[in-house]
Parts: sequence; structure tokens; C-alpha cells
Amino acid sequence: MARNTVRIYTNIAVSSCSGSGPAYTINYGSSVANVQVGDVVTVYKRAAGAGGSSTIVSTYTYHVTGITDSDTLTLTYVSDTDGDGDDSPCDLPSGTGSSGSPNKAPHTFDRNLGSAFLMFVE
Amino acid sequence: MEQCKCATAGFCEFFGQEMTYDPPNWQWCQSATPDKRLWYKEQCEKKQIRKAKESNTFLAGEYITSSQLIKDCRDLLLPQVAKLNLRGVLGIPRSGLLPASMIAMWLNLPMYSLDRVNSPQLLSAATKFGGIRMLEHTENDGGLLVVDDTVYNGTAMKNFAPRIPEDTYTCSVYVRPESEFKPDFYGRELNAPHLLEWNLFNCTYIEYALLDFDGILSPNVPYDKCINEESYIDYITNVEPFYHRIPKTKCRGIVTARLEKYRDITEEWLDRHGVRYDSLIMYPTEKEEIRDKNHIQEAANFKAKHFSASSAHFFIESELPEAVIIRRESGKFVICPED
Repeated sequence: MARNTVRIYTNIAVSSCSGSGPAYTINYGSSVANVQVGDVVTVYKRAAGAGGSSTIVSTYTYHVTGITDSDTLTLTYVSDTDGDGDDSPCDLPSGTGSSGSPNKAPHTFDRNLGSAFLMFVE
Repeated sequence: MEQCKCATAGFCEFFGQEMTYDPPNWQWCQSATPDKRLWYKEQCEKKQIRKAKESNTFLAGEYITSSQLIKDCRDLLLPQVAKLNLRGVLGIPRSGLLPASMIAMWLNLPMYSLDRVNSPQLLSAATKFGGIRMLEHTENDGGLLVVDDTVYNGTAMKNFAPRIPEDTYTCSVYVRPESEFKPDFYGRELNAPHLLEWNLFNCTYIEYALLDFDGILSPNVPYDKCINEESYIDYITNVEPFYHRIPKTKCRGIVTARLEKYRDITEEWLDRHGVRYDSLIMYPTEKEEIRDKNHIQEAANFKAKHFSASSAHFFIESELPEAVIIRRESGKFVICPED
């Protein structure tokens, strides 16, 4: 079965962010050295302090548009399912922590491999 | 929109937000198509509506000072637990130890805390049950009173509940009304969002805050130091910070009526004391005379203007008269920690 996307990393913790948008510089808590420009980052926003398995408020999508080093990337906002508009990845709570100290939602990286194709050989 | 070419980073009227230098968002629109710019303008408008809503929720929020915590603990919680048969009081690390130690002292009971595997440990010192005031204390068979400052969801209490003996009572000074877990006793309900003085600079809310400088991060400059520039510079270079107000994470920014000409000294001081911030906004040096003719009003207007234009949810201001003006002018949440 052909696959169109591959998962590069799952649940990578965010350390810090800067930038006004649409682009943000993100520093991660661990290496993301296998990421490439163009990879898709998915972030699940939940209500602060509501719990890690609470309802997802919105799913944010960013593109990787720059690589500084093995743990620092530039992400650019693409969309969010709730139509809340652009937001910094550091302002998206994971639901864990408390309302006073909400944890930042982790990032998942996927790579779009493009359309699959079939080859017929006689 | 066709001439969307800013000369520098800064506030963009079209998008209604700051466009940063790094990453170079101020240059983003120069290579974007008109459709893409319109699309991003819509995203910014949605963001601004959402941030305004979030900011408004802070207006309904509450700021609790450390002295209010002790007062509420004494007046609202203590009467409910004073007549229980207790062998001791256990504080949940760390902030639960604050009300727990007050209750333990008021009721003259031994104090317990939790070890690394969340088992209760008697805190012994000069005597088995604590200090020399506990010299005559004899152990009884009462229950253990488990105390926290706030219960938001009850996660902290639920986490170590299996480790706590059955003969315990749980209590907190404050509890969020929607909390799934309700302790046996609590002082009063406290809605979210709430900001607590004892962990304000130690929680991630600080990422949504703008801070005043003098009076918040360090003591105000004494008048006799202000009248001589040499002694003023010496003071702001060497003043010790308020160590209880070094933000744990990067704050949204610092807005100060300190003059721009002291930027280098100020930035060096912030760096030396580990204060992280997105932006440092200082009062224009050329307007010094205007500022000094009506310091409170001018400084407050300056801070309110930048607070209004920012996405910060709240402002921490040291001077009450300025805080009142900033609140009025910005319509946003302002905290004056000493008042």
C-alpha cells in the first residue's frame, strides 16, 4: 500500500518561541535534526488546565520554513480547524498543567511524500 | 496593500500587530501575493478578536496576595478544621506548605510533608514533633489534615492519594468551582483565571504579561539618586533585583518610563539578572521634560498606549496611581502587587 505521508517525530516538547507571526522561531526541548523545510507540524490545542485527554479545541497546522540548528526551527502558520486565526505555537496549551501554569502543546512532524503512483509493467 | 513595504520592523497598521525583526515577519508581506496578504489580515483579525476575549476573561479574574491567602486561611478555612481530631497537618509541596504551616502553628500541631515517593514524613527539628514549642507534645490517634493552597482540578491531591493513610481530611484555601475533585473542606471558591502573588512570576501566565521596571523588578530609585545623573546611573547599574520577581519564563515585555538613553545599562542589568523578555520599551529621551512635568500621567499614558497595542493580557505596575490610569486607558487587567 502506497503511503503519502511519513511521521518524522511525535510529541516533541516546545521550549520557547519568538516572533509575531505568520512565522515563529521555535526552540525545542530535544533534537529535531531529521526535519526538513516543507514538513508539516500539527499541534492540538486544548483548554488550559482541562487535562491532556480533554476535547481538542483546535488543531493547528504550520509548515517548517527554516532550520536554524538541530533544535531550532522556523514555523509558518497555515491553518487551524476552529478558525481561530494565527497564533504562536507557544500559546497553544496541551491541557496538562494548570490554568496558571499550562503546559505547551507538543509538536508532531509529518512529511508529505506527494501523490502515490502506480507503475504498470508488461 | 499594493505598497505593502515597511521600511523596518514594528507595528503594522494593515495587519494590526507588531511585525517582528526576527524571524523577519516585517518582510514577509513583500514576497506575499495580494491574496495571501488579505488572507493573513483575516487571520490577524480572528487572532485579535480571540486575544481580546482571552484578555477580557482576565478582567473577570482575581489576583490573590500572599497576605490575603493567610487571611482567608485563618478566617474561612481554620474555623472548619479547628475542631477535628488531628495528629498533624500535611502541606502539599510547595505552595500547600504555606497555609499548612500556618494551620499547624495556629493549632499547635506537628507538621508533615511528602517524601520523593509521596509518603507522609513528620518534620522533626529541635524535638520529635518540630521546634521547642512542641517539646511537650504527645502523639494522638487523630487524622492527618492534607492542605493545599488551591484546587484547580485536584490533580495534586489525587496524585498522591494512594500514599496517604485513610484517616485523612483534605482541604484547601481556594477551590475552582468546576473542579472534578472537591476537598473535604475549603475556604472559598475561586474562579479561573486567578493570579496568585506567591507564584505569579513563577507561572507561565507571566508570558502574557507586560512588566513595569522600577518598583517591580528592582526597588524604585530613591529621590536623592534621581537628582544627580552620576548617582542615578550608579544606582540603576548596581541595584539588586527583587529576587522574588525574576520571571521563570520569558515575559511578553517590559514597558518603563526610564529614558531610552539608559537602554544599554538596563539591558545589561536584565541580562545579568537572568530576566528574559520579548521587548523592552523605554520612554523617549527627547520627551524627558514633558514626562517630568507630570510624571504619573505621562508615564501611565506611555505604558497604557503600549499595553493597548500589545497582545499582553495583563500589566504589572508598581505605582497605584499609574495602575489606575493604565487600567482606565487600556481597558485591560492591571496588577499592582503591593496594593
